[in-house]
Amino acid sequence: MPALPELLSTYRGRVLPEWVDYNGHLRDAFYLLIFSLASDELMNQIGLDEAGRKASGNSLFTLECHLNYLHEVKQDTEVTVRTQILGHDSKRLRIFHSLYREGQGDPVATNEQMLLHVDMAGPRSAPFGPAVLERVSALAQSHQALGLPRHAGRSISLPA
Amino acid sequence: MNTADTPRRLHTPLEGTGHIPWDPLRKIDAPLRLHQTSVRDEWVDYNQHMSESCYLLVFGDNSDAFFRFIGVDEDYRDRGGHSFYTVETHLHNLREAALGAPLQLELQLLDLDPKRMHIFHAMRHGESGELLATGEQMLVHVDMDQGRSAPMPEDLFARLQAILTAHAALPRPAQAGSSIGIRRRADPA
Repeated sequence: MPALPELLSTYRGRVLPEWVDYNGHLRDAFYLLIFSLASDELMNQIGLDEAGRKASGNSLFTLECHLNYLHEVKQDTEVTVRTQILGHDSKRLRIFHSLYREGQGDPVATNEQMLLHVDMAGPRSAPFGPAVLERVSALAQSHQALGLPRHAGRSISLPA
Repeated sequence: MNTADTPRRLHTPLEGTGHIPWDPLRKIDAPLRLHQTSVRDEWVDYNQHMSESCYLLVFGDNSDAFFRFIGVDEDYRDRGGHSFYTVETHLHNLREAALGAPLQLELQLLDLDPKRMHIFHAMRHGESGELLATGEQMLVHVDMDQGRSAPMPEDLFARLQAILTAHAALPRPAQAGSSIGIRRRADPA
């Protein structure tokens, strides 16, 4: 059996004091801050780094995102984010971030995002450039073998 | 504002303000408008627009205003040992919010059971009324000592039922119940 493809490593850092609540736990909004920083790093890895964005005038805009909070995370915990590409079309990218305590196998939170490639001059949606599209397609194809994560594609409702 | 034990912790706007006494005869607004603010310096990116995680920060402050409206404050948490935890959130970013823009928050209660509430935040421009972002959340009532979900006390649940009744006439927001996926037919490109 061929080895499964590796997820992209998109964040590594420590839970900072200004991110926690009265109880010393990471606050809701700061999980999303960490995931946003992971999306920035993903942009670097697909050729939309700062230099690329300046040269092309293009960037990614988050249209929609879904967060699942699975465990509490304490101040000073070392955390990492790994990212799976779930799909794309000519100008949209569907990604899935998982946040882990360093060295642990079960995620403490997940974040699915739909990103739109935009021409900042509009701003208006714009197709990916050829080099970015090639990179995104290759990643999406390789990550397909991983299947859809448990918390992907969810909508919110009370249990039946 | 800073305290010695947590010198760098950010404080929330309503922290320590207690709750609003519940008046069973008062008409309940639909939706509730309990929080206004404006886009602050520390919330914007290099482009002077509010960054993504700060929309959620503002929705969190709107939840806090809602908690105080239904009687859930520091005393409820610290003496009663119960609180609401967010288990799931879905955000739609519709328009950018520039530095200084006035923000009016709305809150609609979509659904309820004895341990959970399903809420919907709308963030509008305070002057134009334009919808900037929405946030849908599932919150669970938690016994903090046991570290597990617990039914709400009867009086709290009754207040939420009254709000749910008052909000039943509101249309279901277009963004509620969405899931993320690429719908290829919707994209002609």
